[in-house]
Amino acid sequence: MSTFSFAEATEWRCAACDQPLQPAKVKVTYLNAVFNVELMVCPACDFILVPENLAMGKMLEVEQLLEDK
Amino acid sequence: MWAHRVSEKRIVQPLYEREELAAITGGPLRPGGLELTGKLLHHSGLAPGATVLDLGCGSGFSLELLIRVYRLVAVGIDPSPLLLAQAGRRAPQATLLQATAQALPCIDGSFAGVVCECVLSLTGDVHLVIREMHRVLRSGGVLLLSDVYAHEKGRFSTSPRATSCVNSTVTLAMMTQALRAANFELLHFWECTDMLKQLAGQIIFDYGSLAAFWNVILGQATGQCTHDCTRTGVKLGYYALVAQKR
Repeated sequence: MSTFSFAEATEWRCAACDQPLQPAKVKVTYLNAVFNVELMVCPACDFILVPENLAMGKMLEVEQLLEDK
Repeated sequence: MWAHRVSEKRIVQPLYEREELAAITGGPLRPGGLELTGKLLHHSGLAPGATVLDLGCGSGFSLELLIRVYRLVAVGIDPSPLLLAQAGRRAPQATLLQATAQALPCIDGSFAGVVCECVLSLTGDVHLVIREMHRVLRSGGVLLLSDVYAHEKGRFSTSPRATSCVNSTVTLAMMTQALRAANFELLHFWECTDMLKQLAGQIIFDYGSLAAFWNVILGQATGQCTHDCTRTGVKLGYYALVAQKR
């Protein structure tokens, strides 16, 4: 399965660890579907940044597809 | 999300010939991929050395599996010379024939098995192709079939300029009726719609949205019509089955 990269340079930092975020492969699961995506992640605590445009765009469309709406 | 201008010539190229689509799954562009093919083969009872037809073999992913892992003697048929060339490189031991599913260039009873994955709905004549597959199977031979189905009766009405599996689908009831009418006995059946949704989700992640995907591949008019059809009324599912020739 291919990995979809949504990692892009950002000024956001992990507030708990005060670390800059790094691109990392993340497994996104919803209902019975699994997708490999690359997102910005805190290297210390694995906090994941999901950009709003991704959450409200592609992810929302995938959710609606999987929910059969 | 990316988009590029598609030339008029490319618009008529069937969807499944697009090499870039294989990058989405790392293999064949169909729900379940080779894992589903393996499941069908596991339940087929086909022994090493048996001769099997891969109808709509495409670029040869399943042919390679049939030969390398299951040690079957494989024949691949596809109407696309482009895909057959790819299949020849991927599965050099396979016998390849350019032909359509409606008129198989094979004598009666040639095969112990026929594999037909996400192809039947592309043929435009489900009943005829099922009869052809029955004809070329030996007595007791097995049909390994997977395809999309429509939750409601009816067909999509899209531009004839492009071919994709959503252009022509039937309901499960119509499918099983066609198999019975052609003297097939259903041995195993699996509901696989989750696999279809998985593939669609991957396509959304790669192309931005299903609408964008259809527009890039089929052109604006056909793509929008296909997208509208899938969103208004007709819902798609996916099935896999093993049937035996009586």
